[in-house]
Amino acid sequence: MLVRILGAVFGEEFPAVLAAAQGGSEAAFTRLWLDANPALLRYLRVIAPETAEDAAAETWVQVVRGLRRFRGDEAAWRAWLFTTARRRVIDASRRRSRHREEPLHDAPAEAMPVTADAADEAMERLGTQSAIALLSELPRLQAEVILLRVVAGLDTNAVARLLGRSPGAVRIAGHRGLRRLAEILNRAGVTL
Amino acid sequence: MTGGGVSGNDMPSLPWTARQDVSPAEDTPLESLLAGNGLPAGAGVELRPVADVLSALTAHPGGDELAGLTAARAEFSRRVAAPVQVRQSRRWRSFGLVSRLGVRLVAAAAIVVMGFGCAAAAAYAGALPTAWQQFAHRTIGAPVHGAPHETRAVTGAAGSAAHRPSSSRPAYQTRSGTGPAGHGYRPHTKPRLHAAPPTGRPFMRLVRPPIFPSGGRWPPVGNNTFRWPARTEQIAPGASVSNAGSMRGVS
Repeated sequence: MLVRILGAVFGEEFPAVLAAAQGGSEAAFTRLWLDANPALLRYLRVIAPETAEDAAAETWVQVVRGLRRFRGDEAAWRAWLFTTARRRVIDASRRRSRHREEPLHDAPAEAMPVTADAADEAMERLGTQSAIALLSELPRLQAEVILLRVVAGLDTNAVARLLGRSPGAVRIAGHRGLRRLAEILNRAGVTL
Repeated sequence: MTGGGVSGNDMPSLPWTARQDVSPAEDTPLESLLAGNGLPAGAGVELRPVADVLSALTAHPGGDELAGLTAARAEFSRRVAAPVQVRQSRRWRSFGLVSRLGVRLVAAAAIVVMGFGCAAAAAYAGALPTAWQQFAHRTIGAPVHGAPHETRAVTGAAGSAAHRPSSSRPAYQTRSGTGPAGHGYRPHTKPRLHAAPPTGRPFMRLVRPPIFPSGGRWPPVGNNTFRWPARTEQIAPGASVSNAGSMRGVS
């Protein structure tokens, strides 16, 4: 039923792709980026909606800096990526609390890349944006757990390590979040 | 709770669980949704919209979600792709001559140079064994064992063909113009007026012209006598004299 955009995308191919990227292959890095960045942005749009793009860019800068030193499998790669993103968000929120900044103007719409089937994409994007908006209504921990498990494809233990919680707390937070989401949807009669 | 002296067996058995609000039967579909396996069969209808939301969260990426690729690739090219050439170069060097042989060659060359330097110094000091000293004398003009002090002094300093053992000319005559030319300085034993060649320990000195010959006359020219430089001239007693060890002589 669920179509994953991240998680077991590479599978057994991941070590070769990672090694190629660490060796300087731009094509391999592009594959890693295309696999991870959409999920990363969706996660960031829930936990840091105002600075999601900036946080994603900073995350990739950080990841590129440490790419050669990274050792691990695909799950460890995703955990590292989202851990880095979460830390970027925390750092950015601390900076914002110290220095108020005026946001820059958004890029013009024509500057955005256009896919082949724009109508289908628009409908799909509408569903994705609505889902992100719905998750934003959840408490932060519950929303994070759902996103990290569903979008990032991390297991309970990895999410627990990432969030600094116990696996039991993470499991409970995920279940409560889903039930709360069901309540919101049933109460509003929302259909995506 | 129980107070002192009460056995632990008296503690009531509390049916406490950490998840009193969730039954294990309800966990299964939720866990299946979180694991990305979709809604299992027999799950409650109220979870179907939730499954749709999660499906929308994992939909194909939109164009704006791929907009940062150029910047990320540029960063990658700057930090990873560019230094890889240096890394490959280092890797090549680690397997190549520079690393394995080059360092050893440089070290061996340094040792050889230092050895030759020490040997040459010892040869000029006359500290080598006789056979080695003879070899050094033939090759680099080091003084030989048993040579007169003055010969050793001059040959040791000048080291030219004029100071070979076959040369019958006394060393202290080399200043007359027939000696080696082209050296930066001219070694010379300090001449003693009215005396034979010096008998003390030879020592290299820079030429210093005499100020006054003894008795106001030049010594007669003959064998084993010193030839004063032609430009050395007599000066008045009150004139200033510069004899600071240079060839300029009298000013």
